[in-house]
Amino acid sequence: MNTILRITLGLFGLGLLTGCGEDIDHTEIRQSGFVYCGHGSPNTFNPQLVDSGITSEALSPQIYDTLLKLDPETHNPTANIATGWNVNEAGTEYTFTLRKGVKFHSTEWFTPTRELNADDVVFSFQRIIDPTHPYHYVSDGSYPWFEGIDFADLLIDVTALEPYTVKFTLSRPDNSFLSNISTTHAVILSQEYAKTLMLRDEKYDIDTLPVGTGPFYLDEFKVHDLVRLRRHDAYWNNPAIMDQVVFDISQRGTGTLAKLLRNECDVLSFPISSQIPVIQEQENIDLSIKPAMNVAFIAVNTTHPALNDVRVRKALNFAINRQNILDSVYYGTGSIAYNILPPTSWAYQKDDIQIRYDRNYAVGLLKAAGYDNGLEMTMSVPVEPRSYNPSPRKMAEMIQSNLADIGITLHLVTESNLKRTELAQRSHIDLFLRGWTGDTGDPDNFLRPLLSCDANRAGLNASMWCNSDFDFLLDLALEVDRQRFRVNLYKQAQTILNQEFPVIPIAHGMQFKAYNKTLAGFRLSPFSVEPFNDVKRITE
Amino acid sequence: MFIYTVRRFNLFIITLLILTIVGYSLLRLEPQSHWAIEDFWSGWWQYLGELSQFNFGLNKNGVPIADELVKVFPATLELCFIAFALSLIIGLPIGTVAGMKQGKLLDTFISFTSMSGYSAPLYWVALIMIMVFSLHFGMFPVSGRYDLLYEVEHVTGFALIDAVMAEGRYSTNILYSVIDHMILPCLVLALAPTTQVIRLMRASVADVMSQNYVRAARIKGLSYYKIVTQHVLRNAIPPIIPKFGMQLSSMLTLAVITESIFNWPGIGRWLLDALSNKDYVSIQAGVIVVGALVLTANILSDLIGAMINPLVRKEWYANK
Repeated sequence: MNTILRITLGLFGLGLLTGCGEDIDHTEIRQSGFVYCGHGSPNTFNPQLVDSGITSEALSPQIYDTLLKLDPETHNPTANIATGWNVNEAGTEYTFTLRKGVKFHSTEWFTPTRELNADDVVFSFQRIIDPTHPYHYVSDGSYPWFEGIDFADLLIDVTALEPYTVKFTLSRPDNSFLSNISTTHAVILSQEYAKTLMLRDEKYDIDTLPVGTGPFYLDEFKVHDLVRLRRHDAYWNNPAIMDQVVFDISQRGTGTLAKLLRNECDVLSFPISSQIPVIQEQENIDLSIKPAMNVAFIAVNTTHPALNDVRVRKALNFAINRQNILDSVYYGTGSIAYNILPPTSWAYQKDDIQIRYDRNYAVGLLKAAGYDNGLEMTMSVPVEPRSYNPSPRKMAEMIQSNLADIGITLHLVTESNLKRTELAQRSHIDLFLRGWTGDTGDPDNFLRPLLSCDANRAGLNASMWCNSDFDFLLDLALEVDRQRFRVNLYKQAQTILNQEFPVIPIAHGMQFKAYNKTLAGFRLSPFSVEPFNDVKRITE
Repeated sequence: MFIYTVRRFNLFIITLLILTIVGYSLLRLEPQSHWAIEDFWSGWWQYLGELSQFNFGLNKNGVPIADELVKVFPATLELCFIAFALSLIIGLPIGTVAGMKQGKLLDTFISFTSMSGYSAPLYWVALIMIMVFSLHFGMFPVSGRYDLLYEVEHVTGFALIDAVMAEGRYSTNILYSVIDHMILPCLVLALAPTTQVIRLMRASVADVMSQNYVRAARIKGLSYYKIVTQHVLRNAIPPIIPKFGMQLSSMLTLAVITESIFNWPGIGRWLLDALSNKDYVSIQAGVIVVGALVLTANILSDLIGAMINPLVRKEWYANK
């Protein structure tokens, strides 16, 4: 029995000792990389297949490259993999010259034997537009972002003229084409990798075990846990300084703010507005606030019998007190949305006649529509806070009380873990609390994916609204060659929106990002995360 | 003893079969799965065949569930084992002291503390501990199994063992990181079982203390220490061993909460994710695995209890 006692005491002592062993030095590993938090788990590693989320917003610029890039300041496309381009007179043929010496990742699952050339570009775009392409239907054959802008209809053909020259043929001139292929969705995959996979009959791997040309390659992925990227030493631009980047994608736990405060996260994207004051108090954390290309809005299901009446939609619009929402949900950081387009857009139109808070007018409109006895509706509410909506639940509750004030009973449905497309099919939902972040600075990128008839078919347009005049204006705006005509057309399109109200704009959020002060070298862009190749840790 | 073992084993098999029916019914809940169109009993037979090869099917993302279980299950086991050991190390001595001093001030104090520890909601305790130890004093990390920047190769799935086996220049750092991350969740998870162990031990010791042979030993002039180690503990521990199995099973329920608060990548967090995704195949696999573990723990503690304490075996025969 004595021995048992001794062992027990010994174990106790050991336990205490480990508690004291705090002084072990973790700074060395900190020098080699950093942890990025605030995103959810990816479903795929191919940004072509998604329309939002970590894959397109944060991973894509690290793993892949695009032909062009959007300049963070001017929002214009600039050279990236393509060093230059020519457009023919009609604006339907684009010829790109590709950069030489761009190397693909060497990973456990693939070792490239050649550099990036025109074949890879052709492969990547043909996969999206050509239904007979062997890879088109791999991973469901759904390219939601490209469907939203009707890309397959626009781009007729991609051909390799020479090893480093590619020609894109469009069905019609399109002013937003260059911007669209600069987004993080239009990445260049490796054709050689695809061929090897086809021989091995493992085509599905192209989207789960990615091979790209970006500054980092995928090293480890644990669902709901982490994505580990490692430095791609042969990156064509400046190879990264940090050896690794870890994306903490766990959604449970005490929250990312606690991790940020404990230095377990070095970067936190999308901190919630209510956390901002806490973050600002911290001495070792920097907070960057930038106006973002985004908007929060309510998409109105126009197939609902009552909501088909424009007077009811208008009543909803006038019933919402946007200033109150701004004060309590955005903590005064955002701005009221007078339309879908954010203030930084060149086609912005401030319409404070249609967008204002006027409860009595709303009641009158409802009465005129014959619903003075009240109405019942359901609204879907997302769970995850985004930059355009820092607290969806709170916003939904405020809208609920605003609508109760004019006699509309609103039931809130939390859309947890349902895919957006799944939700759109559920026709019993009348209002969708949504938002949109622009992938390009082009107004088309806001209006078309959200409200065009094509987007309606692709399942992105939750309003199920289709207006031929509106579509015509958008199409025309892509074809006219003078900027001032385009501005005019987009303003007309916005006027249609503020007469019809298929969506009720609410607010534009700011883009927040919290950094540990020991990190330097982040480049900021209003569209997505920039490559981390220049990020380094500076010692205090 | 042999017959006793066989009987327990029989019970184990039958309960396990009933469990598989539950799991199988869960699979049939999803109308798209091929199990839903099978005839119930022949489908069940097939299902048993699949299970016997550890084939749990594919989850919603098309990944074999067995592969995922191999990753998440050891994490939970590790957490539970350490917490369980911790609860025994802390609970047994304190329970003994309380039992010896029954009715005294010390006993009242211990009973009060253990009762309040038992009744405090686990998630609240966990959050308070994070607030105090992690955020205020900055002693421990708030979540995870180790610093994410360290790459710990998955060999056994037990982070401690993997960390000890890790090579390279960061190997000691990894081990410390793992231990650092383990302390808070283990303490939180150990809380409820510790209080239970204290109560069980207290009752058992108090029972033994009132026995005549203890009184005789005292009259004989044995030292207090001798009485406790030679007579009290030897008689007090064996009867409560079978109850430890129950502790381990209630611990798994608590592990779900602990894992989700500390973001521990174990089966509890994994099951919660499966539930929120309505991934019936994963839920089924989780139910089977957790159920089997609880059953095994119970049977094992019964068997060990019977091995140490022959009285139990006699009881079993008598009750027949």
